[in-house]
Amino acid sequence: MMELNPKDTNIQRCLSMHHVSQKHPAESVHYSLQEMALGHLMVRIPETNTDAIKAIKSVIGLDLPTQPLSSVENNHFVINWIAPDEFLILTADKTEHALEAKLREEISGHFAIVDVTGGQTVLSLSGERAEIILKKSSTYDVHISYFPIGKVVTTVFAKSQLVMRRTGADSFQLVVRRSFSDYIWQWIVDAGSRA
Amino acid sequence: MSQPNRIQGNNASAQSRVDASKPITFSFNNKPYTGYSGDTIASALLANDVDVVGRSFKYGRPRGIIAAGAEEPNAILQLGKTEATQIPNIRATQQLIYEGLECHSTNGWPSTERDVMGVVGKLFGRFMPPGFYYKTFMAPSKLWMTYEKMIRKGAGLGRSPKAVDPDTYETINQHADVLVVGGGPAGITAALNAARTGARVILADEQNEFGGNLLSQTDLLDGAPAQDWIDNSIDELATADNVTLLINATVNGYHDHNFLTIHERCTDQSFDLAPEGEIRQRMHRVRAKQVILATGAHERPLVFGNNDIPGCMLASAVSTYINRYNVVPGKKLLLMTSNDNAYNTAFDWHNSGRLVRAIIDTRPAAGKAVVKKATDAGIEIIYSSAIVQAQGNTCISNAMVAPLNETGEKLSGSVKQYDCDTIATSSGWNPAVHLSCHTGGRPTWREDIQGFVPDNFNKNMIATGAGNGLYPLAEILQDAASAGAFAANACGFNATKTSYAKAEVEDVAPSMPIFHIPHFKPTSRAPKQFVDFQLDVTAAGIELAVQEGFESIEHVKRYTALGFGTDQGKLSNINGMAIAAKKLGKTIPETGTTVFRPNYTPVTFGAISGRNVNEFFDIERYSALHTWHVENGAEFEDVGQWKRPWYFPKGEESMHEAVNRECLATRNGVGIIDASTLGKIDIQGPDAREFLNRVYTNAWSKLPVGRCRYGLMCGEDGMVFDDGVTSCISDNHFIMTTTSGGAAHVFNWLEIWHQTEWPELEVYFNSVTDQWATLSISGPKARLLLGELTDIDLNPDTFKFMDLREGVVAGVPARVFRISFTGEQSYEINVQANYALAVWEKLFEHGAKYDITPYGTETMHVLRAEKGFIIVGQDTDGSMTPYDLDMGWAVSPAKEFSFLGKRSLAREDTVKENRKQLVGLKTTDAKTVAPEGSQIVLDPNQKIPMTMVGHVTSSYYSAVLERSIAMAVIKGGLDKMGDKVYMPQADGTTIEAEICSPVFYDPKGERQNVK
Repeated sequence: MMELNPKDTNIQRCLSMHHVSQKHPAESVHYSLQEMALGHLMVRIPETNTDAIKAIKSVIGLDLPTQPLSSVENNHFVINWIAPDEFLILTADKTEHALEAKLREEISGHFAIVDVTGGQTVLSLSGERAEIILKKSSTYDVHISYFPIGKVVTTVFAKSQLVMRRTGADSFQLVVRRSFSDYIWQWIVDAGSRA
Repeated sequence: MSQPNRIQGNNASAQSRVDASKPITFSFNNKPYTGYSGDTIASALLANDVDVVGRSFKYGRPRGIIAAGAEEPNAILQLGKTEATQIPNIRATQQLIYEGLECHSTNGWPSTERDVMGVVGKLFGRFMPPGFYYKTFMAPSKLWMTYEKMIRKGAGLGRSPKAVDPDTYETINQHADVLVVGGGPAGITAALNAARTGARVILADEQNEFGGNLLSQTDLLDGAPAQDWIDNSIDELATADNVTLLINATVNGYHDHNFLTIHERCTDQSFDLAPEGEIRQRMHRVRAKQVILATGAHERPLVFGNNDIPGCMLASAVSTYINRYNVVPGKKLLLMTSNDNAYNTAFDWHNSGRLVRAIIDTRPAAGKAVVKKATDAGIEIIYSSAIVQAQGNTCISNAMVAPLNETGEKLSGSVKQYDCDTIATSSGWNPAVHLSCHTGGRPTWREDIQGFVPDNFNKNMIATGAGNGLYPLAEILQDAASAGAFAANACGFNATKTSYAKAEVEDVAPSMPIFHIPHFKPTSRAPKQFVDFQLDVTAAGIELAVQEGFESIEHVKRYTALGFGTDQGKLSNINGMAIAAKKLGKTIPETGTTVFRPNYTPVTFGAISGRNVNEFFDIERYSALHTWHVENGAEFEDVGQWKRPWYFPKGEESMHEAVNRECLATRNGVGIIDASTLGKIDIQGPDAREFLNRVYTNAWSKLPVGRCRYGLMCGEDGMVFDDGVTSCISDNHFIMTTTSGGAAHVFNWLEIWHQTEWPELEVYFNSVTDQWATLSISGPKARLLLGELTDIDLNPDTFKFMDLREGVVAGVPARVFRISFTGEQSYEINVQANYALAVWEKLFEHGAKYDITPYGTETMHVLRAEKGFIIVGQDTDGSMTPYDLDMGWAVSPAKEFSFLGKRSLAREDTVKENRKQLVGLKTTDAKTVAPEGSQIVLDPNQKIPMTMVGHVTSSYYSAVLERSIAMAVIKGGLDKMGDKVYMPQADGTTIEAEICSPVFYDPKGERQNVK
């Protein structure tokens, strides 16, 4: 386990969408698309490790969302259910290492924590056209009656896949793997260019 | 006067949907015509008294418009103003005119009016039975291509554009509780009743407006014109936010699990080319809990002699043209019917102010209501009779009418001639069962309505209205309301009552089951009686097929081509079946029906592909350094979905020159490659080592912390499928690397074995391919360069080959692996991807004085081949064991638990002599680089077919060795060191080579281990 952010804050950092967002700006009155700088930890915990689940609560202040496709959040963290023993914790920018260290200190038994902050990113997609962009991109039913606020799904997106979570009536968070950034960003900008 | 058939003044239809204040000019076969806004091409052509719209497929006979909807077989046009916007096979009955529209007949080369095939058909038609082309043009078979071209050009069914499609298409995924297919009276009523419960409803109709058959008929609903009810209903649905309304949107495919595709033509009805920023067509991919099929029905024509002369039409189509488009397609109508419903056509015609010559009813009597109306209008009804033959050339001049016997199978009296220019016929209706067949439904025959209706095998599908064989409007509305409520309830909604409009109820006399009107002559000698107009299938042809021994309707269909056109036999199938059944002496249900496949009407490729074209055709995955590569002139190679730099040409350098330069720079100074695409899997857990033992062929129990090891992975078949280096971070934490293209497969492989076979092992896998950028520097000066930028102690006595260290590189936390794919002293620097560019640029800044040289995959391939390192997938092909690769050193058969593939390595076949084994090859002529894939023989003088003993897997020019090098798999190759082999080439030359070790350079590994 290493702190992966340099001490020297002058060192250039390029988030996943750094280049593509400059080359293909998402400028529209109908929707907003922005990359969020967050810390990402993938946590794997077997449901039998109840001590670990308690330990996570003590560090984060949230119960693990063991209900499939659910998420929980407080002022500092979001925990997304990914699979029965797999969770994605999002934390404030550059706090992922401290969080991982604290979690490792508190959790015992079998578990895994992996810092994936550089390997994926979160896109915030919102606006009146947000839902229709998702309908053009994913076969998942994103109607609010089926995909309510807080629900999180890993699903197909165009020819790729991502994790999506609804954060409001017209707002979503999309977790995108870094190497698919250009494809997905451009796809969204294209889909958003038409009603 | 222009538009001679447009109804004028008091006779004009009150419900017409065309706007006479908006004239539109368009061209058909290069001739300008005027129609009105709301006209289809068909209605506008009929308004202009255009009889002939094409030539028939086989006989070249002149053909006119028969129908008014999707079932039209003849008016199939080529549309488009430019080469790029050409669309073949547009049904003139479904395409609205717009200003400047250009269309042409698809049949009839060289011209519709006068064509070659027409003459051929007329002269030789008698000699063109079913299977004519098969039978006639069979020999010589090599000439078929020539025949086919001419036949196709003569027959023709449209052509594809030769230029790139400039339009944009889109797909969209929809989810609905209830999808209602068809927006006629049934569909609207069903949608209203479902939507009022709060269910999510999609109502889709293929026409340019809702209303369906109500647009063609003069019925009143709730005592008012039906249009009032349509408008009010659609207003209600349009304002409900749980309803999606789609017009110009054909539900074309019904797939498993209630997945349906709707082809929406967004701009086709208004533009040749979609306006900038708009999409031309959209494919809706719908998942619906319940589907209501309110697809309506197609009228069935009666089959009689010369029934294809322009002017022969469906009765309902004639009504549609009169009521909806204000067009009466002729001057004198002769109507033939076997039912009451078609009488309305005579009344509509009469009301338009033109002459109804007579109604020919095949029955001995008709319903009281229609008889009274006919009598009031002064229209003569001739009972128990039929039109046996139409006469005329490009239009009808008269018709022969004769009395029928009771069963309709024989004529029972003498012929009387009736002059007329239009013949409308009806033998009842065929429910549009197409969609219900797409997932395997078999329509069921209902004797009472003489038609097939959808079966009920799909419990989440309901058919209603005319699409389910229900014809009286009052009953349609009531049934559709129940269907809408039932479907909503099935989705968990609560429909407590239904509501629907009230229609008048009329007494109707039963219709008569009759399909094929007898002639005085036997069918084979009578004038042609067409069943399938689009493919020129006649009643005689079907009878002949039966006579020739075809008993299954599916065989009859294929032999005669019945229903094979773009219309899918919408008009012809039932008539064809009835004729075949009669000839076979069976009933229609005994004969069975053919079923339909998607799509209901043709769909453009654009709508299917949507936005998955050009930059979105396939995913391009980029590393964190991609932009640098682009800016520095890299040529790219596809590796899986990754775009990897292939080589970095300088100036005018060729690939060969660039690769030679990159190779030498790495061997003599320092080279750098972006290896970020390597698959990386983070493995954590107390059983991580044991898991590695089981998936790799070699042993992992004793790998110390901070060390790296190369491993081979085999499938259960013992064949190598991936390789890579795995490093021990801590006792229960490892980092595995995989090939770039194999990462996803390996990750799945690990998960599958963990989840299904060894769930008791406490280990977790996470993909970190994208998390870590991998910057690999290689060469004698690599250590010097890295030393300037890191706090890691690079002392080679302590940081040895195959060691791993953590530290800071260029200010960024890094894991540095001293591993090598080049055979040089090499460091793989791994940093969090967000900082990759900063570190990369720093390496170049400091590396300039060492002439640091970026290289791509091609140089990487040469460098590794010089060292004999394999590339899985290039030097292996799924049939190579570790032993075949001479890599037995990487197999530990003594491990406590078995490993995947171990058992197969002892199979008879995997241990046999003379398996293909990986060796090196040196060409006799050092400058000759043998093509990869070259087959290898031992005796160059053997006659063809030669005995091939293997092939070249990798082959390059090595700049450092100044000669060509190659790797190859050769039968028993490891025992043939020093032997000569030969590679015969396609150009007749033969390349000679000698078998050698595949390690060409630095065989002792001194360079990578250098201290």
